[in-house]
Amino acid sequence: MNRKMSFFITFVALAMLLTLSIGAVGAQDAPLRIGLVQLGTDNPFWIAQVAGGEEAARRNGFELIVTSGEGDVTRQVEAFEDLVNQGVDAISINPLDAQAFGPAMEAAAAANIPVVCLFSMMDGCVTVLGFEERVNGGLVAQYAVQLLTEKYGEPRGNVAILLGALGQDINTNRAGGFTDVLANYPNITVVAAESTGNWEADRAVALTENWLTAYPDLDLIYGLSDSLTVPASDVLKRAGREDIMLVSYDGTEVGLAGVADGSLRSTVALLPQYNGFWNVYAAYLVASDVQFPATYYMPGAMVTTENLAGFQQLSVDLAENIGIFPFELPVGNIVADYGARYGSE
Amino acid sequence: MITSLRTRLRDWMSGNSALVALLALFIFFGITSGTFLLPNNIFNIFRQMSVVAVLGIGMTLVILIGGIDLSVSSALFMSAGLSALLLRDGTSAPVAIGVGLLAATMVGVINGLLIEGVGISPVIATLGTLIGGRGLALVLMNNAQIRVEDPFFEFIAITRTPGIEALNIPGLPLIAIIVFALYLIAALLMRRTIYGRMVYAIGGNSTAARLSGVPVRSVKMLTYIQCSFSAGIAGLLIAASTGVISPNLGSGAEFFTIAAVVLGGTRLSGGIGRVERTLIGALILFMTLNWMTIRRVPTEWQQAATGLLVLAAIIIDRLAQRSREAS
Repeated sequence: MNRKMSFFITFVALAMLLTLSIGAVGAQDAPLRIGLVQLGTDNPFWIAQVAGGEEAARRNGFELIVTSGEGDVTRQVEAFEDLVNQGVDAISINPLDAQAFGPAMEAAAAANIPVVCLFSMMDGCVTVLGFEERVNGGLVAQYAVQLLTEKYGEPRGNVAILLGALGQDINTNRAGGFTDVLANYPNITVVAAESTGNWEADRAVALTENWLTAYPDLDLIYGLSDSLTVPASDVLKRAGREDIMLVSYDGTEVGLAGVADGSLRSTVALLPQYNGFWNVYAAYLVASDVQFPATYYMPGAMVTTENLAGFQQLSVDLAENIGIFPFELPVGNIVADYGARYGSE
Repeated sequence: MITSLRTRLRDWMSGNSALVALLALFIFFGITSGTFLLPNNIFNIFRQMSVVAVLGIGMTLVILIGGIDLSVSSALFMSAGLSALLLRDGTSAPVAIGVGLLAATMVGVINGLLIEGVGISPVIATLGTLIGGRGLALVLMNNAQIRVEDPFFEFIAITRTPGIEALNIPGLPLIAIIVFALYLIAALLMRRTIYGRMVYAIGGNSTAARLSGVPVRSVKMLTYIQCSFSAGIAGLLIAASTGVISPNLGSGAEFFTIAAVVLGGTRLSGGIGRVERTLIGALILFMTLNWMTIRRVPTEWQQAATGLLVLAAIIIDRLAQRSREAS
């Protein structure tokens, strides 16, 4: 598990940077000002990201200025330029359309303001942060192998994949990470991997029905989003084929409810507060002249029937006790720790 | 004798090219797959085409009057999203569904006013309501996914007629019966009512229709409104069969719908076509998708094949038209 190791090293390095940066802050007279440019403000995911960012500011004693494009790229560019004019010390941005930021990025460079980018690379970004979708796909595969081994006493069986939109990175990585790991198990066959168009729930229903006809000996279905697997679970229920196991991705409310009632075996939660903490914290470190890796991808939390209770406690703590949440630790360690402490009910 | 029979057969085939294509594909798919003809699989296809088929009723009429409605997937989303939202918050099923259908229908009212009142072209006007309608519903839903767990939707999703167990034939899904019933109503509407005749008159020659006293604007507006209403019904069906309302539910359905209308032989220029043939178009599309999965066609090829199928339909239709004009 080379990748896992490299994550761990990254984290150790980041933890060391944290210690260094305390010194950097001490040298400042006024607190640093960090600007955050969000996509919008009305989505629970974005709200949670901001909560994580505010916690990073509280812990490290800098000022966080939160702005957003309200879903409109022109307004997002304006918000970005406002921050440049205010002369903030660094900007963290999740661009709606990377193409639209050419002149704005040049203005930031001219003003000597470093920019940290989320999810998409733009010319001039100091670092790009995002989710480790491919690694997460691998985590799902490991759990699928475990489920199939429990069923047959050895790793074998027939697997199908409900893909999203072909050509999108998120689709390629979530599926590719999964099939990469399964390639090590010659007796596990991916019998079908089909696109649901533009992540269409209706196509997911139709594909699942058709697979029941075409592959009656199917053991497990991996869906790249809860919006695909939850409808698929209804199909299996209606057809009386609940013996077919479903593993999912996204960790939305309906997905977690599916894990709770057993219709899904697992999902991957992306922990927006954790992501939000690091988005802003990275900008702060960069503004404090601390070296930060050129890319930093965060893994998600694998939520299964076994660790669901722990994960639910983790979610409660993120919402209510964010002030003492161990953001500095790797996600995998945090999830494992909660799982061990709270177990399954 | 033989010549006249052959001519008559050729005339029938060029007049019913959609039906001929359907039968040819049905036989081909049946021969090339061991499971395609199983009753359960055929019933699955009926259910899978239901959303596009119901959207296709309204779309056919709009295309017949020489218009187009790109906003159907948003009207669908309005009805699915709002009724699910209200049901989750404890509203009774009839009220929730009524509000959902009304909201969907309002999309058609706005389309009608923009196109016939303000004079905006149908493509631009319905593109606007396509984007705006879904956006508005998402604001109301707070961008979240909503699980549909109401007994009414459950009933639509799971109910089937009694099957014949001895022959391993399952029951026909209620959703399929709803689709066929709606098509029967639409076909009668188009043949037996003044409204139906007016639609053809407007599509054939709008000016001539106006001069002979047809209230062109009112009929056109009514047509956009019924299109959104049928999209509202499609929204209820998609909510029942998927069981979860995600922000992109049904997006892109307008493409499949217009494809089904064209495959059914309705001219995009208006005036010529039959609403019931759109059902044939939807069947062709979803039979093909089903067969490709059963025959394990790689997913990239499926996407390409679906596009080619629609192109082929347009070309064949055009050629048939030309040969008819020549003879």
